Amino acid sequence: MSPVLETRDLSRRFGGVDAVAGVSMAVEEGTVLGIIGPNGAGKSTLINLITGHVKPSHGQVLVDGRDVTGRKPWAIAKERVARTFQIVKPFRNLTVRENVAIGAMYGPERAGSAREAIAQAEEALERVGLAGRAELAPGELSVADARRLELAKALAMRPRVLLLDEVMAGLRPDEIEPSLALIRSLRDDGVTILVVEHVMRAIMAVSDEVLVMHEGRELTRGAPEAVVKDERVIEAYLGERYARRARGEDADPDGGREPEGGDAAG
Amino acid sequence: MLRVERLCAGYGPVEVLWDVDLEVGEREIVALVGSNGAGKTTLLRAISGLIRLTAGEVRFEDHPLRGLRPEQIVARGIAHVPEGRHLFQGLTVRENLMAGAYARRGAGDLDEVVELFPRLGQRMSQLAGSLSGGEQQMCAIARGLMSRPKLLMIDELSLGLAPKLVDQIIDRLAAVAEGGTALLVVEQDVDAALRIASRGYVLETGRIAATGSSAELSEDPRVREAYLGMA
Repeated sequence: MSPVLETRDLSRRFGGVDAVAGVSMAVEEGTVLGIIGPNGAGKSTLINLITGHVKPSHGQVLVDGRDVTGRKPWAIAKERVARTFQIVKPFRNLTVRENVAIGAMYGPERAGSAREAIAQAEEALERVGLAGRAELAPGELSVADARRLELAKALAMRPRVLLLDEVMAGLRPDEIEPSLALIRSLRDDGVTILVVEHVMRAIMAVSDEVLVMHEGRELTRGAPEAVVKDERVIEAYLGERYARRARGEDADPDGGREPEGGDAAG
Repeated sequence: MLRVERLCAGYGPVEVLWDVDLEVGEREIVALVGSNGAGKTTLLRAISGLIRLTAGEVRFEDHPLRGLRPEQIVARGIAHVPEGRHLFQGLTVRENLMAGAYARRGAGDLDEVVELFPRLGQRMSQLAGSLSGGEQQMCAIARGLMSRPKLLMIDELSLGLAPKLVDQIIDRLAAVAEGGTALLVVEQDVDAALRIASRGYVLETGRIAATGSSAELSEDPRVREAYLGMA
Protein backbone atom coordinates (compact mmCIF):
# COMPACT_ATOMS: atom_id res chain seq x y z
CA MET A 1 0.00 0.00 0.00
CA SER A 2 1.41 3.39 -0.92
CA PRO A 3 1.15 6.27 1.53
CA VAL A 4 -1.60 8.81 0.93
CA LEU A 5 0.71 11.67 1.90
CA GLU A 6 4.43 11.78 1.44
CA THR A 7 7.17 14.40 1.66
CA ARG A 8 10.67 13.91 0.29
CA ASP A 9 13.51 16.02 1.60
CA LEU A 10 11.08 18.90 1.99
CA SER A 11 12.89 22.15 2.82
CA ARG A 12 12.27 25.85 3.13
CA ARG A 13 14.67 28.65 3.98
CA PHE A 14 13.48 32.03 5.22
CA GLY A 15 16.32 34.51 4.93
CA GLY A 16 19.23 32.65 6.45
CA VAL A 17 17.10 30.33 8.54
CA ASP A 18 16.22 26.74 7.63
CA ALA A 19 12.61 26.72 8.83
CA VAL A 20 12.13 23.20 7.47
CA ALA A 21 15.25 21.28 6.53
CA GLY A 22 14.92 18.01 4.68
CA VAL A 23 11.79 16.43 6.16
CA SER A 24 10.92 13.07 4.56
CA MET A 25 7.87 11.29 5.83
CA ALA A 26 5.13 8.99 4.65
CA VAL A 27 1.69 8.77 6.21
CA GLU A 28 -0.55 5.76 5.61
CA GLU A 29 -4.22 6.10 4.87
CA GLY A 30 -6.52 6.22 7.88
CA THR A 31 -3.84 6.97 10.44
CA VAL A 32 -3.23 9.91 12.75
CA LEU A 33 0.23 11.45 12.88
CA GLY A 34 0.81 13.78 15.81
CA ILE A 35 3.40 16.50 15.25
CA ILE A 36 5.06 18.13 18.25
CA GLY A 37 8.14 20.24 18.76
CA PRO A 38 9.31 23.50 20.33
CA ASN A 39 7.84 26.81 19.18
CA GLY A 40 9.69 27.73 16.02
CA ALA A 41 10.62 24.11 15.19
CA GLY A 42 8.92 24.38 11.80
CA LYS A 43 5.62 22.57 12.44
CA SER A 44 3.36 25.20 10.93
CA THR A 45 5.77 25.77 8.04
CA LEU A 46 5.66 22.03 7.33
CA ILE A 47 1.85 22.23 7.12
CA ASN A 48 2.12 25.34 4.91
CA LEU A 49 4.53 23.54 2.58
CA ILE A 50 2.21 20.55 2.23
CA THR A 51 -0.83 22.72 1.46
CA GLY A 52 1.00 25.05 -0.93
CA HIS A 53 0.67 28.15 1.24
CA VAL A 54 4.46 28.32 1.30
CA LYS A 55 6.57 27.18 -1.64
CA PRO A 56 9.36 24.73 -0.86
CA SER A 57 12.97 25.75 -1.53
CA HIS A 58 13.69 22.11 -2.14
CA GLY A 59 12.02 18.70 -2.05
CA GLN A 60 8.64 17.24 -2.97
CA VAL A 61 5.11 16.77 -1.70
CA LEU A 62 3.14 13.77 -2.98
CA VAL A 63 -0.55 13.12 -2.48
CA ASP A 64 -1.57 9.59 -3.38
CA GLY A 65 1.73 9.21 -5.20
CA ARG A 66 1.12 12.29 -7.37
CA ASP A 67 3.64 15.09 -7.19
CA VAL A 68 1.83 18.30 -6.16
CA THR A 69 4.96 20.29 -5.32
CA GLY A 70 4.67 23.99 -6.13
CA ARG A 71 0.95 23.94 -6.88
CA LYS A 72 -1.31 26.68 -5.59
CA PRO A 73 -3.19 26.08 -2.34
CA TRP A 74 -6.55 25.75 -4.12
CA ALA A 75 -5.10 23.19 -6.52
CA ILE A 76 -3.80 21.11 -3.62
CA ALA A 77 -7.18 21.47 -1.90
CA LYS A 78 -8.67 19.88 -5.03
CA GLU A 79 -6.66 16.78 -4.15
CA ARG A 80 -8.90 16.73 -1.06
CA VAL A 81 -6.25 18.01 1.29
CA ALA A 82 -7.96 20.28 3.84
CA ARG A 83 -6.52 22.22 6.73
CA THR A 84 -7.25 24.53 9.61
CA PHE A 85 -5.35 27.69 10.53
CA GLN A 86 -3.99 28.72 13.91
CA ILE A 87 -5.33 32.23 13.46
CA VAL A 88 -8.96 31.82 12.50
CA LYS A 89 -10.16 34.18 9.79
CA PRO A 90 -13.82 33.49 9.05
CA PHE A 91 -15.86 35.76 6.79
CA ARG A 92 -17.20 38.03 9.51
CA ASN A 93 -20.29 39.20 7.66
CA LEU A 94 -21.48 35.70 6.80
CA THR A 95 -23.17 33.33 9.23
CA VAL A 96 -21.42 30.30 10.67
CA ARG A 97 -23.42 28.09 8.29
CA GLU A 98 -22.51 30.18 5.24
CA ASN A 99 -18.85 30.12 6.19
CA VAL A 100 -18.92 26.34 6.18
CA ALA A 101 -21.02 26.16 3.00
CA ILE A 102 -18.26 27.98 1.11
CA GLY A 103 -15.98 25.00 1.71
CA ALA A 104 -18.63 22.71 0.23
CA MET A 105 -19.41 25.08 -2.64
CA TYR A 106 -15.88 25.63 -3.87
CA GLY A 107 -14.17 22.53 -2.46
CA PRO A 108 -12.93 19.55 -4.43
CA GLU A 109 -16.41 18.05 -4.78
CA ARG A 110 -18.17 21.22 -5.82
CA ALA A 111 -21.70 21.05 -4.48
CA GLY A 112 -24.18 21.14 -7.38
CA SER A 113 -26.26 23.90 -5.85
CA ALA A 114 -26.35 26.33 -2.96
CA ARG A 115 -28.93 24.08 -1.32
CA GLU A 116 -26.62 21.11 -1.53
CA ALA A 117 -23.72 23.17 -0.15
CA ILE A 118 -25.88 24.25 2.77
CA ALA A 119 -26.84 20.62 3.39
CA GLN A 120 -23.18 19.61 3.45
CA ALA A 121 -22.46 22.52 5.78
CA GLU A 122 -25.22 21.36 8.14
CA GLU A 123 -23.69 17.91 8.21
CA ALA A 124 -20.22 19.30 9.04
CA LEU A 125 -21.65 21.58 11.73
CA GLU A 126 -23.54 18.66 13.23
CA ARG A 127 -20.37 16.63 13.33
CA VAL A 128 -18.36 19.28 15.21
CA GLY A 129 -21.24 20.10 17.56
CA LEU A 130 -22.03 23.55 16.19
CA ALA A 131 -25.45 22.81 14.66
CA GLY A 132 -27.16 24.98 17.26
CA ARG A 133 -25.05 28.03 16.40
CA ALA A 134 -25.33 27.95 12.61
CA GLU A 135 -27.22 31.26 12.48
CA LEU A 136 -24.69 33.24 14.50
CA ALA A 137 -22.01 35.53 13.13
CA PRO A 138 -18.53 34.04 13.64
CA GLY A 139 -17.62 36.96 15.90
CA GLU A 140 -20.26 35.83 18.39
CA LEU A 141 -18.61 32.46 18.93
CA SER A 142 -16.48 31.59 21.94
CA VAL A 143 -12.86 30.64 21.39
CA ALA A 144 -13.73 26.94 21.56
CA ASP A 145 -16.54 27.31 19.05
CA ALA A 146 -14.41 29.41 16.70
CA ARG A 147 -12.00 26.47 16.59
CA ARG A 148 -14.90 24.10 15.88
CA LEU A 149 -15.96 26.37 13.02
CA GLU A 150 -12.46 26.14 11.60
CA LEU A 151 -12.74 22.37 11.75
CA ALA A 152 -16.23 22.34 10.17
CA LYS A 153 -14.96 24.47 7.26
CA ALA A 154 -12.28 21.86 6.59
CA LEU A 155 -14.72 18.95 6.95
CA ALA A 156 -17.16 20.46 4.47
CA MET A 157 -14.46 19.89 1.85
CA ARG A 158 -14.79 16.14 2.51
CA PRO A 159 -11.03 15.70 2.83
CA ARG A 160 -8.96 12.55 2.50
CA VAL A 161 -6.10 14.30 4.22
CA LEU A 162 -6.82 16.69 7.06
CA LEU A 163 -4.16 18.92 8.60
CA LEU A 164 -5.06 20.34 11.99
CA ASP A 165 -2.92 23.21 13.26
CA GLU A 166 -3.54 23.64 16.99
CA VAL A 167 -7.30 23.16 16.94
CA MET A 168 -7.28 22.32 20.64
CA ALA A 169 -5.23 25.24 21.94
CA GLY A 170 -7.05 27.12 24.66
CA LEU A 171 -9.66 24.45 25.26
CA ARG A 172 -10.46 22.97 28.65
CA PRO A 173 -9.85 19.24 29.13
CA ASP A 174 -13.59 18.54 29.02
CA GLU A 175 -13.89 20.61 25.83
CA ILE A 176 -11.06 18.66 24.24
CA GLU A 177 -12.81 15.28 24.56
CA PRO A 178 -15.38 15.88 21.79
CA SER A 179 -12.61 16.98 19.42
CA LEU A 180 -10.67 13.81 20.16
CA ALA A 181 -13.76 11.68 19.55
CA LEU A 182 -14.28 13.47 16.24
CA ILE A 183 -10.70 12.87 15.12
CA ARG A 184 -11.04 9.17 15.94
CA SER A 185 -14.30 8.86 14.02
CA LEU A 186 -12.81 10.63 10.98
CA ARG A 187 -9.84 8.31 11.09
CA ASP A 188 -12.19 5.34 11.24
CA ASP A 189 -13.82 6.71 8.08
CA GLY A 190 -10.41 6.47 6.40
CA VAL A 191 -9.32 10.11 6.67
CA THR A 192 -5.59 10.60 7.16
CA ILE A 193 -4.96 13.23 9.81
CA LEU A 194 -1.95 15.30 10.84
CA VAL A 195 -2.38 16.90 14.25
CA VAL A 196 -0.04 19.73 15.26
CA GLU A 197 -0.65 20.38 18.93
CA HIS A 198 1.03 21.35 22.19
CA VAL A 199 -1.74 19.82 24.25
CA MET A 200 0.05 16.57 25.09
CA ARG A 201 -3.10 15.03 26.53
CA ALA A 202 -4.61 15.24 23.05
CA ILE A 203 -1.49 14.10 21.18
CA MET A 204 -1.16 11.02 23.38
CA ALA A 205 -4.84 10.17 23.05
CA VAL A 206 -5.24 10.21 19.25
CA SER A 207 -1.86 9.71 17.58
CA ASP A 208 -0.94 6.41 15.98
CA GLU A 209 2.55 7.81 15.61
CA VAL A 210 4.22 11.02 16.73
CA LEU A 211 6.72 13.04 14.71
CA VAL A 212 8.93 15.31 16.81
CA MET A 213 10.41 18.29 15.02
CA HIS A 214 13.34 20.33 16.23
CA GLU A 215 15.07 23.15 14.37
CA GLY A 216 13.36 22.27 11.11
CA ARG A 217 14.28 18.60 11.19
CA GLU A 218 12.80 15.33 12.34
CA LEU A 219 14.20 14.66 15.81
CA THR A 220 12.46 11.32 16.07
CA ARG A 221 9.30 9.53 15.04
CA GLY A 222 7.55 6.64 16.73
CA ALA A 223 4.79 5.38 18.99
CA PRO A 224 3.54 8.10 21.38
CA GLU A 225 4.56 6.18 24.51
CA ALA A 226 8.10 5.69 23.22
CA VAL A 227 8.51 9.27 22.01
CA VAL A 228 7.67 10.90 25.35
CA LYS A 229 10.29 8.75 27.07
CA ASP A 230 13.00 9.78 24.61
CA GLU A 231 15.58 11.88 26.46
CA ARG A 232 16.15 14.09 23.41
CA VAL A 233 12.44 14.89 23.26
CA ILE A 234 12.35 15.69 26.96
CA GLU A 235 15.38 17.94 26.58
CA ALA A 236 14.13 19.79 23.50
CA TYR A 237 10.42 19.93 24.11
CA LEU A 238 8.69 18.36 27.06
CA GLY A 239 10.91 19.52 29.90
CA GLU A 240 11.75 17.67 33.09
CA ARG A 241 8.53 18.54 34.84
CA TYR A 242 6.44 16.75 32.23
CA ALA A 243 8.84 13.82 32.20
CA ARG A 244 8.65 13.40 35.96
CA ARG A 245 4.88 13.49 35.83
CA ALA A 246 4.79 11.00 32.96
CA ARG A 247 7.04 8.65 34.93
CA GLY A 248 4.69 9.00 37.88
CA GLU A 249 7.39 10.39 40.12
CA ASP A 250 5.43 13.44 41.04
CA ALA A 251 3.92 13.57 44.51
CA ASP A 252 0.49 14.04 42.94
CA PRO A 253 0.61 12.47 39.49
CA ASP A 254 -2.97 13.51 38.76
CA GLY A 255 -2.74 17.20 39.45
CA GLY A 256 0.98 17.42 38.86
CA ARG A 257 1.21 20.29 41.29
CA GLU A 258 4.67 20.93 42.58
CA PRO A 259 5.24 21.78 46.21
CA GLU A 260 7.66 24.60 45.42
CA GLY A 261 5.15 26.12 42.96
CA GLY A 262 2.65 26.90 45.72
CA ASP A 263 5.07 29.17 47.52
CA ALA A 264 5.76 31.35 44.53
CA ALA A 265 3.85 34.31 45.95
CA GLY A 266 5.58 36.21 48.71
CA MET B 1 -3.78 46.13 46.12
CA LEU B 2 -6.42 45.40 43.46
CA ARG B 3 -9.96 45.15 44.71
CA VAL B 4 -12.84 44.39 42.36
CA GLU B 5 -16.22 44.87 44.01
CA ARG B 6 -19.59 43.70 42.69
CA LEU B 7 -18.43 44.46 39.18
CA CYS B 8 -20.89 44.20 36.30
CA ALA B 9 -19.82 44.74 32.71
CA GLY B 10 -20.65 43.70 29.20
CA TYR B 11 -20.80 44.69 25.58
CA GLY B 12 -23.66 46.97 24.63
CA PRO B 13 -26.88 45.43 25.93
CA VAL B 14 -25.18 42.06 26.61
CA GLU B 15 -24.17 41.64 30.23
CA VAL B 16 -21.17 39.36 30.60
CA LEU B 17 -20.16 39.79 34.24
CA TRP B 18 -22.37 39.93 37.31
CA ASP B 19 -21.34 40.94 40.81
CA VAL B 20 -17.75 39.85 40.49
CA ASP B 21 -15.61 40.23 43.62
CA LEU B 22 -11.89 39.62 43.31
CA GLU B 23 -8.72 40.70 45.06
CA VAL B 24 -5.03 40.59 44.32
CA GLY B 25 -2.57 41.40 47.08
CA GLU B 26 0.93 42.79 46.73
CA ARG B 27 3.41 40.38 45.17
CA GLU B 28 0.66 37.81 44.96
CA ILE B 29 0.08 35.47 42.01
CA VAL B 30 -3.62 34.85 41.46
CA ALA B 31 -5.11 32.53 38.85
CA LEU B 32 -8.39 33.20 37.07
CA VAL B 33 -9.80 30.10 35.43
CA GLY B 34 -13.09 29.27 33.75
CA SER B 35 -14.72 27.98 30.59
CA ASN B 36 -14.43 29.67 27.28
CA GLY B 37 -16.99 32.41 27.23
CA ALA B 38 -17.20 32.63 31.02
CA GLY B 39 -16.02 36.25 30.98
CA LYS B 40 -12.36 36.03 31.98
CA THR B 41 -11.11 38.22 29.15
CA THR B 42 -13.97 40.66 29.72
CA LEU B 43 -12.98 40.96 33.38
CA LEU B 44 -9.38 41.82 32.45
CA ARG B 45 -10.65 44.32 29.89
CA ALA B 46 -12.90 45.93 32.50
CA ILE B 47 -10.01 46.24 34.96
CA SER B 48 -7.73 47.83 32.37
CA GLY B 49 -10.39 50.30 31.26
CA LEU B 50 -10.94 48.89 27.77
CA ILE B 51 -14.64 48.46 28.48
CA ARG B 52 -16.85 50.38 30.84
CA LEU B 53 -18.32 48.98 34.04
CA THR B 54 -22.11 49.00 34.25
CA ALA B 55 -22.01 48.64 38.02
CA GLY B 56 -19.56 48.06 40.84
CA GLU B 57 -16.08 49.33 41.38
CA VAL B 58 -12.44 48.60 40.63
CA ARG B 59 -10.03 50.01 43.21
CA PHE B 60 -6.27 49.97 42.85
CA GLU B 61 -4.16 50.92 45.84
CA ASP B 62 -7.38 52.32 47.32
CA HIS B 63 -8.07 54.66 44.41
CA PRO B 64 -11.13 54.05 42.22
CA LEU B 65 -10.23 53.45 38.57
CA ARG B 66 -13.69 54.17 37.30
CA GLY B 67 -13.73 56.66 34.43
CA LEU B 68 -10.00 56.49 33.81
CA ARG B 69 -8.76 55.84 30.29
CA PRO B 70 -6.67 52.71 29.62
CA GLU B 71 -3.41 54.69 29.35
CA GLN B 72 -4.14 56.38 32.68
CA ILE B 73 -4.66 52.97 34.23
CA VAL B 74 -1.34 51.80 32.80
CA ALA B 75 0.23 54.90 34.34
CA ARG B 76 -1.23 53.88 37.71
CA GLY B 77 0.65 50.59 37.40
CA ILE B 78 -1.58 47.98 35.76
CA ALA B 79 -0.33 46.30 32.58
CA HIS B 80 -2.37 43.91 30.46
CA VAL B 81 -0.94 41.19 28.17
CA PRO B 82 -3.89 40.45 25.88
CA GLU B 83 -4.93 37.08 24.54
CA GLY B 84 -3.38 36.56 21.13
CA ARG B 85 -0.47 38.80 22.13
CA HIS B 86 -1.38 41.68 19.78
CA LEU B 87 2.17 42.68 19.08
CA PHE B 88 2.88 45.38 16.53
CA GLN B 89 3.78 42.87 13.82
CA GLY B 90 5.57 45.38 11.60
CA LEU B 91 7.74 46.80 14.38
CA THR B 92 10.89 45.22 15.73
CA VAL B 93 11.07 43.51 19.09
CA ARG B 94 12.90 46.53 20.50
CA GLU B 95 10.23 48.91 19.21
CA ASN B 96 7.49 46.76 20.68
CA LEU B 97 9.22 46.78 24.04
CA MET B 98 9.73 50.54 23.92
CA ALA B 99 6.03 50.97 23.11
CA GLY B 100 5.29 49.17 26.37
CA ALA B 101 7.24 51.80 28.27
CA TYR B 102 5.52 54.71 26.51
CA ALA B 103 2.61 55.31 28.87
CA ARG B 104 5.02 55.54 31.77
CA ARG B 105 7.48 57.85 30.04
CA GLY B 106 10.04 55.24 29.10
CA ALA B 107 10.07 53.79 32.57
CA GLY B 108 11.08 50.26 31.68
CA ASP B 109 14.51 48.80 31.54
CA LEU B 110 15.36 46.84 28.38
CA ASP B 111 18.29 45.08 30.03
CA GLU B 112 16.08 43.88 32.83
CA VAL B 113 13.48 42.24 30.58
CA VAL B 114 16.18 40.77 28.37
CA GLU B 115 17.73 39.21 31.43
CA LEU B 116 14.35 37.66 32.15
CA PHE B 117 13.86 36.46 28.56
CA PRO B 118 17.36 36.10 27.05
CA ARG B 119 15.87 34.80 23.81
CA LEU B 120 14.48 38.26 23.11
CA GLY B 121 17.97 39.74 23.38
CA GLN B 122 18.93 37.79 20.25
CA ARG B 123 15.82 38.99 18.43
CA MET B 124 15.86 42.74 19.18
CA SER B 125 16.08 43.91 15.57
CA GLN B 126 13.76 41.25 14.18
CA LEU B 127 10.18 42.12 13.23
CA ALA B 128 7.73 40.87 15.84
CA GLY B 129 5.64 39.23 13.12
CA SER B 130 8.51 36.92 12.23
CA LEU B 131 8.91 35.52 15.75
CA SER B 132 7.72 32.03 16.66
CA GLY B 133 4.60 31.75 18.82
CA GLY B 134 6.59 31.25 22.00
CA GLU B 135 8.86 34.19 21.31
CA GLN B 136 5.83 36.38 20.60
CA GLN B 137 4.35 35.46 23.97
CA MET B 138 7.63 36.31 25.70
CA CYS B 139 7.73 39.60 23.82
CA ALA B 140 4.15 40.41 24.87
CA ILE B 141 4.91 39.68 28.53
CA ALA B 142 8.13 41.67 28.33
CA ARG B 143 6.28 44.58 26.71
CA GLY B 144 3.86 44.52 29.64
CA LEU B 145 6.76 44.57 32.10
CA MET B 146 8.32 47.57 30.32
CA SER B 147 5.71 49.81 31.95
CA ARG B 148 7.11 48.65 35.32
CA PRO B 149 3.67 47.58 36.46
CA LYS B 150 2.72 46.90 40.05
CA LEU B 151 0.18 44.44 38.65
CA LEU B 152 0.64 42.46 35.44
CA MET B 153 -2.43 40.72 33.99
CA ILE B 154 -1.77 37.95 31.47
CA ASP B 155 -4.57 36.48 29.34
CA GLU B 156 -4.10 32.86 28.20
CA LEU B 157 -0.53 32.50 29.32
CA SER B 158 0.26 29.07 27.85
CA LEU B 159 -1.81 29.20 24.66
CA GLY B 160 0.13 27.49 21.87
CA LEU B 161 3.32 27.11 23.86
CA ALA B 162 5.50 24.01 24.17
CA PRO B 163 5.30 22.32 27.59
CA LYS B 164 8.93 23.06 28.39
CA LEU B 165 8.49 26.70 27.45
CA VAL B 166 5.44 26.99 29.71
CA ASP B 167 7.56 25.71 32.58
CA GLN B 168 10.30 28.22 31.78
CA ILE B 169 7.89 31.15 31.57
CA ILE B 170 6.23 30.08 34.81
CA ASP B 171 9.62 30.08 36.51
CA ARG B 172 10.35 33.58 35.16
CA LEU B 173 6.98 34.81 36.37
CA ALA B 174 7.71 33.52 39.85
CA ALA B 175 10.85 35.67 39.74
CA VAL B 176 8.79 38.63 38.51
CA ALA B 177 6.45 38.25 41.49
CA GLU B 178 9.37 38.02 43.88
CA GLY B 179 10.69 41.21 42.32
CA GLY B 180 7.55 42.96 43.55
CA THR B 181 5.03 42.70 40.69
CA ALA B 182 1.71 41.07 41.46
CA LEU B 183 0.23 38.81 38.78
CA LEU B 184 -3.30 38.01 37.70
CA VAL B 185 -3.08 35.10 35.27
CA VAL B 186 -5.88 33.79 33.06
CA GLU B 187 -5.06 30.25 32.05
CA GLN B 188 -6.90 27.31 30.48
CA ASP B 189 -4.30 24.89 31.70
CA VAL B 190 -5.54 24.90 35.26
CA ASP B 191 -2.80 22.54 36.24
CA ALA B 192 -0.20 25.12 35.19
CA ALA B 193 -2.20 28.00 36.66
CA LEU B 194 -2.52 26.44 40.08
CA ARG B 195 1.14 25.53 39.98
CA ILE B 196 2.25 29.17 40.06
CA ALA B 197 -0.65 30.83 41.81
CA SER B 198 -1.20 30.90 45.53
CA ARG B 199 -4.92 31.51 45.10
CA GLY B 200 -7.45 31.22 42.35
CA TYR B 201 -10.93 32.17 41.22
CA VAL B 202 -13.23 30.09 39.04
CA LEU B 203 -15.46 32.17 36.80
CA GLU B 204 -18.56 30.48 35.36
CA THR B 205 -21.08 32.27 33.12
CA GLY B 206 -20.04 35.67 34.38
CA ARG B 207 -20.06 34.89 38.09
CA ILE B 208 -17.40 33.77 40.54
CA ALA B 209 -18.32 30.12 41.14
CA ALA B 210 -15.49 29.17 43.46
CA THR B 211 -12.45 30.69 45.10
CA GLY B 212 -9.75 29.46 47.41
CA SER B 213 -6.12 28.56 47.72
CA SER B 214 -4.58 26.64 44.84
CA ALA B 215 -4.47 23.53 47.00
CA GLU B 216 -8.17 23.85 47.85
CA LEU B 217 -9.16 24.40 44.23
CA SER B 218 -7.18 21.45 42.93
CA GLU B 219 -9.05 19.27 45.45
CA ASP B 220 -12.44 20.67 44.44
CA PRO B 221 -14.34 17.88 42.61
CA ARG B 222 -15.91 20.30 40.09
CA VAL B 223 -12.55 21.80 39.25
CA ARG B 224 -10.98 18.36 38.93
CA GLU B 225 -13.65 17.13 36.56
CA ALA B 226 -14.01 20.16 34.32
CA TYR B 227 -10.52 21.61 34.33
CA LEU B 228 -8.09 18.91 35.21
CA GLY B 229 -9.81 16.32 33.03
CA MET B 230 -10.36 13.75 35.75
CA ALA B 231 -13.45 12.55 37.50
